[in-house]
Amino acid sequence: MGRDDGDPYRLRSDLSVQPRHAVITALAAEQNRDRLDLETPLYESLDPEALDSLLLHRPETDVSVTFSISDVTVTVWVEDEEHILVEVTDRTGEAGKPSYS
Amino acid sequence: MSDAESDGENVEQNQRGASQAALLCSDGGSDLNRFFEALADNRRRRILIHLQQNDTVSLQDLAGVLADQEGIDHQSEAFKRLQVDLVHLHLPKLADYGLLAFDERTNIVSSESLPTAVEQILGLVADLEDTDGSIDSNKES
Repeated sequence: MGRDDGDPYRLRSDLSVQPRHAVITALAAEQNRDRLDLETPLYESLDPEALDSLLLHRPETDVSVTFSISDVTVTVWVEDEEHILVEVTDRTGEAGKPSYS
Repeated sequence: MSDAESDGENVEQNQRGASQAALLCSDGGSDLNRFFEALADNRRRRILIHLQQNDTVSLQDLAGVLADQEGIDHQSEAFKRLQVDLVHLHLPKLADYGLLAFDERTNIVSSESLPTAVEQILGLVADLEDTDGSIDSNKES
């Protein structure tokens, strides 16, 4: 995978996509898996409905949510009251340098 | 609550089944809150109603049933999102509350014996609610 250097993966959706779906889509892309085949259900990390509620209750409120799942850290927030941004950062890359074969 | 009373309560919970214990062993006094949260979604209510009539159902078949109720094309992104919601939200949440069992290896959903109150409310919901969650005020009880 070309992301060993620890660059965050970023996904931007418009507000018609629920935050929980944006997060799941971002995780699937980052894990290179189908959304139905992720390592763990999102519910094991946080309540997806609570996530949506926090972010969408008042879109004009600046809220960002950061949580860990599998080996990554996910941050999700609403940008400009128009888009949902999801950033996925691989935590395993933080501890050491990537190895080159 | 004294130890004697709580022991009696625990024995009674074991006799009523693990599903009720899971629903009732919550953070003191908020049983009804958890119960309403579990049911506070139209799809979750219809999942439980389906399981009242079917002991087990595969994830795929359950998704198909729900999609057909909502008029969702099985090839659409909306269908995919429905499946995603089952796997990542509704099934783990309902299992957490002891209202069904979901085996992630086999993708089989199984019914659990439900508290009487849940059965009654589901019966009421089935009569009154349309598939999109709107209450059909024209229906007679």
